[in-house]
Amino acid sequence: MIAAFSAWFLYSEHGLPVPVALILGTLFAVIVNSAIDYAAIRRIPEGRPGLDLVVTLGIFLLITAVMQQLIDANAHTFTSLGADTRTELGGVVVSVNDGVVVVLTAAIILGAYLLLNRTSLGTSLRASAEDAGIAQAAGVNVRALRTATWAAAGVIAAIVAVLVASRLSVDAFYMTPVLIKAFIAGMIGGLDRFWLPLSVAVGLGVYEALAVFLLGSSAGTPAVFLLIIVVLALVPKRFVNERNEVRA
Amino acid sequence: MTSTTTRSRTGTGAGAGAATRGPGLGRKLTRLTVFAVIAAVPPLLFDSYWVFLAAQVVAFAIATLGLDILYGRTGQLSLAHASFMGVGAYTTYTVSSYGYGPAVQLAAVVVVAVVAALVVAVPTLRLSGLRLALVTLAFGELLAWVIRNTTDLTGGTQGASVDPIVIGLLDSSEPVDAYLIALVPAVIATVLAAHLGRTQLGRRMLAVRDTELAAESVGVAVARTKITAFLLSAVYAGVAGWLYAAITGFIAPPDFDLFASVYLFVAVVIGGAGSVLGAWLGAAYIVLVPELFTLAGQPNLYPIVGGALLAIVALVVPDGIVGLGRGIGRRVRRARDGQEETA
Repeated sequence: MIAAFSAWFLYSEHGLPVPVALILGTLFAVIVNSAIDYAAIRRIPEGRPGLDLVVTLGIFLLITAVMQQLIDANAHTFTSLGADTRTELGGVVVSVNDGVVVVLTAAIILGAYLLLNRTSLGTSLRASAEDAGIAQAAGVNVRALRTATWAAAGVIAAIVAVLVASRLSVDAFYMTPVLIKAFIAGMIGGLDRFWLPLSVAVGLGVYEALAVFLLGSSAGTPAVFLLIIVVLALVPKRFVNERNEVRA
Repeated sequence: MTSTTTRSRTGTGAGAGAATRGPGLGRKLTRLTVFAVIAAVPPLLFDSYWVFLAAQVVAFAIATLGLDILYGRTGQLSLAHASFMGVGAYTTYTVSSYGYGPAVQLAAVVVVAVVAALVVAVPTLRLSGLRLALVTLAFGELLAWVIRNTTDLTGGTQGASVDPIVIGLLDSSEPVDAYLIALVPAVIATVLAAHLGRTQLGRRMLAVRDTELAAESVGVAVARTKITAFLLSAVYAGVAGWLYAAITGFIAPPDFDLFASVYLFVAVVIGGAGSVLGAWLGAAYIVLVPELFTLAGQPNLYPIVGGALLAIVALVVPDGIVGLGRGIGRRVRRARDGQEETA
């Protein structure tokens, strides 16, 4: 949201070229994300259940309110990134934007997979997530790694925010449903796994689209939330063990 | 969690013995007098508008006391507490539209809140932490969707006017009367919440909060304790919703949405989780601080301050204003003792 809002502000209010505004917006989001880790997340005391969620909720409220105050509460049309350029492929109407989304998503997933599984940096990351103390003792700079992870997460979130904005519009709350669904996918799939949360995210999208298609536009929200309650109530216990939870 | 942390959060040790026995008669009388004096201030000194706000503080205090039982004492994260308030408010609206009085409304609110809490709590017994928060969030969103899409029954997105409560000569459409009506359930809720810490159930809740596994190993029925906390918390929220609807006379979906739940959370954390006084301070914060910003001509600053405060308080003083006050009190006592020893 910060990336898309900043980019929109830079190109629409200050006349910057769209690509430059998008890069600057993304950079700003990365800086803010890293600053959140530096100023808040790493300072959360251990052994206080739920405190990390409370702190991130506070930051979420703060960022949303600041964005509303700095710009306004209205929705603004974002650059379309090819959403209005359509063609027909095998009877299906697709836009350039669809292509951009698919290619970027595939590239990010592949990049993240290779980083986590084929590089020493990825091994250090996984080791730190599993046991930061042991990783630190083994010579991993956990603090720097954490900040770098937050920065990388900021880049990915910024790209997603820009892609979503290009298909909808930008306001202070437009990413909230996306955030909730990403949270759902992470919770159901498990934040310490790679493919399962991704599969859950895709499945959730297909399921919501099907519910809307079959039952009407107002059926999407209840269908998704009913599914969460049912899935989390029925999923085998090993999937919902607290030790599989890591800080969101 | 270590026992040290447990001690620091629950006040065990020498103080715990006192807490278990309860305060002496003198302290009880002092507390009662202080409470009575503070409670008498709004109707005696303030104008109607501020008494109206005071009545809302009292209603929200019941909600924050309920959330404190769930989060502060049992360690369960709920992002649907405002939704349970909504359950109470919309039950009140529905029952009052059939012409039933406050006693039937209150009974219906309690029954519906208990049923709603069971619907959420029973299937999610195995969950805690973020996953429980997620399910409660889902419940809240579902309830908001139901309200928005049942215009004939609930007024939908436009909201609905609620008839005032009339008890004898008291009419909740009058601020002073509303304040007095709200004060009675608030006092009962406060006494119950304060007493909870001295009961077996209260101690079981603390054990579940601090370490579920250890609690289970010493025979605490974790599932039953969690469900009881959830039910108590939902009833508190339902009663708060009942009062809120009667005091304001109008309810709408945004009053009970995700952000409303988050602000209740803000109230509990800022006031001080696990403390009755903290819940009251938090309620005062979420009702009065927005008004102060409006008076200062900066109403939009409230959400910014609210978000920043939530993060800062959680990081710097995780025990909230009450914890800060206790810390300062300890330092002052220590300094005084030091001076006496030197002398």
